[in-house]
Amino acid sequence: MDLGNLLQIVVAVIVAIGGRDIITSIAQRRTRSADVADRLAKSTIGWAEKLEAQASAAHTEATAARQEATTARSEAVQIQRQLARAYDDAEKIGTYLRRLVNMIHDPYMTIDRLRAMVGDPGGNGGLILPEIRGLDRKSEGE
Amino acid sequence: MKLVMLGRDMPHEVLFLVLSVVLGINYLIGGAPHDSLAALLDPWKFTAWAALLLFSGTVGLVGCYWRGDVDFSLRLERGALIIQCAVVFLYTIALFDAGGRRAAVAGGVAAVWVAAHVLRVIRITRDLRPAT
Repeated sequence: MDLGNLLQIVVAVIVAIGGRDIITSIAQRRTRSADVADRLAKSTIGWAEKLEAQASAAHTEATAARQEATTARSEAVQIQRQLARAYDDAEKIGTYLRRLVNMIHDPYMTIDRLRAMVGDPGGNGGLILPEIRGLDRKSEGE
Repeated sequence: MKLVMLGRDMPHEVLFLVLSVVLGINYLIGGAPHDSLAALLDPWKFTAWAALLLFSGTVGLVGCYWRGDVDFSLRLERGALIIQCAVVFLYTIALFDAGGRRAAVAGGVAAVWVAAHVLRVIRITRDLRPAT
């Protein structure tokens, strides 16, 4: 075997090694791509499940928050009503006190008449006392 | 202070690969072979040799500039360099066989070309080893 043939065989072997390297790299790349796609799909599914769970939790929280807001709104309405009632009561007490002061300043008023009007429910106090009595009853009722 | 970046930008290798593409095309479209090669190879073998020169250069360039899968690009580059080593080694032997010491310059350049590729192949093989 002369040098040329030997050299050509050596070169052919080396070329075969290099060619095998290229073919292997292309083949492995396809497999790797499939693996990567598979992993990506799995991670995407996992991510979607997490997202769904988070959305569900957020929905539950939103529902709870809405219920709390409704409760708070009804409580606020109730408090407004109570406030209005308290304002009315205060008005009535003020009227009563003004009348009482007028009566005290009346030159014909005596202490007996005043006591009868204020303290005696059956006397002339009917003019003044029912409002106050009503207030008492309301506060007892509440 | 100087910042040295170690990357895959290898002008010598890339230019040798470009040269092999140009030479491969030149010989495949009818360029006359050097006397040393003509003495060593039959016409069809010479055509195969030129085709391998073109193929290895093209694949090597693709490997060098492939972006994305580094492992794949390195393997591609290594395969192309191995083929080109064989092709240029054949040419080197042909030069020395025909010209003896007179072919020292051309043969030397070709031999260094092969040696550089061998070193690069060794480095790629080392880089492809999984990190421990």
